[in-house]
Amino acid sequence: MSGKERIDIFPSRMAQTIMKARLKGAQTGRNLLKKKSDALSMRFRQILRKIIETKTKMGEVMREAAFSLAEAKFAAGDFSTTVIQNVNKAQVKVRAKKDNVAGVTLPVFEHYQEGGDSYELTGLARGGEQLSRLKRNYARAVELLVELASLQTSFVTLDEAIKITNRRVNAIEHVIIPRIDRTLTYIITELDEREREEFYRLKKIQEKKKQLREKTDKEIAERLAKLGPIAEPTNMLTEEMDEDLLFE
Amino acid sequence: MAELSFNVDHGYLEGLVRGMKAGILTQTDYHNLAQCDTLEDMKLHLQSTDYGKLLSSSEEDLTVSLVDNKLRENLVTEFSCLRTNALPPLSTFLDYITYSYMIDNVVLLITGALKQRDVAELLPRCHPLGAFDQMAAVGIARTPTELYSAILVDTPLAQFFQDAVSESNLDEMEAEILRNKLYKAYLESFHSFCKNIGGATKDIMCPVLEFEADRRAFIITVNSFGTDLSGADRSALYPSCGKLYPEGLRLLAKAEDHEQVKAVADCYPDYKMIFDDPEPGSDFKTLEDRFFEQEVKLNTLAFLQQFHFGVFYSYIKLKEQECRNIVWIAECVTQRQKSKIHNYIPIFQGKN
Repeated sequence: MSGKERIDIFPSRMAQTIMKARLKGAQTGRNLLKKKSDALSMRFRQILRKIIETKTKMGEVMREAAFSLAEAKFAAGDFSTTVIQNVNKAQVKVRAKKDNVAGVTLPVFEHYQEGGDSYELTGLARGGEQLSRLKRNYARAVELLVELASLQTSFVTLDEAIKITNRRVNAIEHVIIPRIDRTLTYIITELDEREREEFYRLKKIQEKKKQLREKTDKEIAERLAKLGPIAEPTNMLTEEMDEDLLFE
Repeated sequence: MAELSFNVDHGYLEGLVRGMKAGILTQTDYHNLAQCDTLEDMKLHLQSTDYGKLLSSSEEDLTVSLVDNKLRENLVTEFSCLRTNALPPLSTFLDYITYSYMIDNVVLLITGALKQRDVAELLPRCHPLGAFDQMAAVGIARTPTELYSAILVDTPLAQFFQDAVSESNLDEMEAEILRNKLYKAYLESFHSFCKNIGGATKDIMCPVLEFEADRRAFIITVNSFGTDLSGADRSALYPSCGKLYPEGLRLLAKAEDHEQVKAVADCYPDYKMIFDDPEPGSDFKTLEDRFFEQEVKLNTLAFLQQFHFGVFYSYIKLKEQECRNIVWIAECVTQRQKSKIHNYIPIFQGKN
């Protein structure tokens, strides 16, 4: 990232106000994004913990389910072909819903049963108890699987979202705000310089004016002195005696 | 006088069966298998039993389903060897044994044909002991009624269909209900056949078949709690050749929960024991396990008498149970669930 750039703008008071506003906007934006990133991270950690928990439980449940399959085969013989032949529609289905976390939509899967149990009568004459236990175990395994699937998709989506948000926060913090800062300082320095220039110019002009005035004053004084005393016309105001007055 | 003439026709086969029975795994064998940690170890142990080189000849990966298939192949070979050398009435008896597998196959093919699935896919999944000639032709039929009138009528299962269903309701019947109705007809037919043969065969086979009938009645009742199957529907599935007929079956049809079933069982001393709560401290056994144990016990009794057909039936059933036991131990070993590995049903204690 180049560190010396600033936005090209004509430095003026207006530009300064605009830049100040932009700086404020950038800072607010960065804070909001940071908050979003924190919320997402928190949810991320929660999901991670749940995933670990579910995976260990999954291991147990699958093991138990596989074993109950062995038990059922012992008691009921080979029912696999019967089961396969009787398949028509799915009984357990999965629905996708959306969950919103700090603006990020996460997909959530939930399973639901549809239709009755079409294998109710399998194993009627042999091994029915083991078969129903088997069905329960595998149903639990499927539930866990669906839950695990939702957790993992949310995990991946959240990961993406957190990366993007963090990238944006960093961009604002390390690129945008310094750039605006630099622009602002540039404007301020320019304005200050301009003021100083103005000031200097004014001072110079005043000096010049004074010099001019002094010069003109001196010239007048000289000319006056050259002319000698000037007969001044009678000044009525300074007269002591007035002939026209009859009575005093 | 059966003892005098029995050996003329069937002596060789009975000797063969008794020889094969001596190869059934004993308690020590099961103990060794349960100690194994991998399937490879189990393969080694099995090599020292009658199974010999069964598993070592294949190049595929050693999995539990491979073990299962090989054991079943073995049983099928032994059975076909017996069947090809059999004379009537032993041949009919052996055919009766295959009918139960045939029923399973037929139900499977019917469901497949209903869903318009390719029959060629289903044929390898059928049980080999239940193969019948018209199996491949089943795929041509579009509805069950067509199936029945065109194909099934020629199979030996036709008689069971007649008792169980009329043509009109074959379409709506559920696969399981159909299977159980066929099985009921089959059991009753088998029972009367054994009774007709008489002699030691009747003495051995009839209790075994009666137990099977009652066991099915109990299990159907217990499994139908909570489903749509009503009492009246249930009673159509109970085989009537058991000890429970007619009183017990009537009570079972009316039973609505486990307590009432237990009350029915309490009237019959054999079944009271099965339904009793276990003493605290002993292993929890499911109802199925206890029925299995009782079945195994009855089957082993068959070998105590000579000159009857019961030995063949018992041998097949015990061999099947052994297959299930070995597969169970193999599953426990591969899934590392050693806690329940001793839940197999032991057949013979020690060496005999």
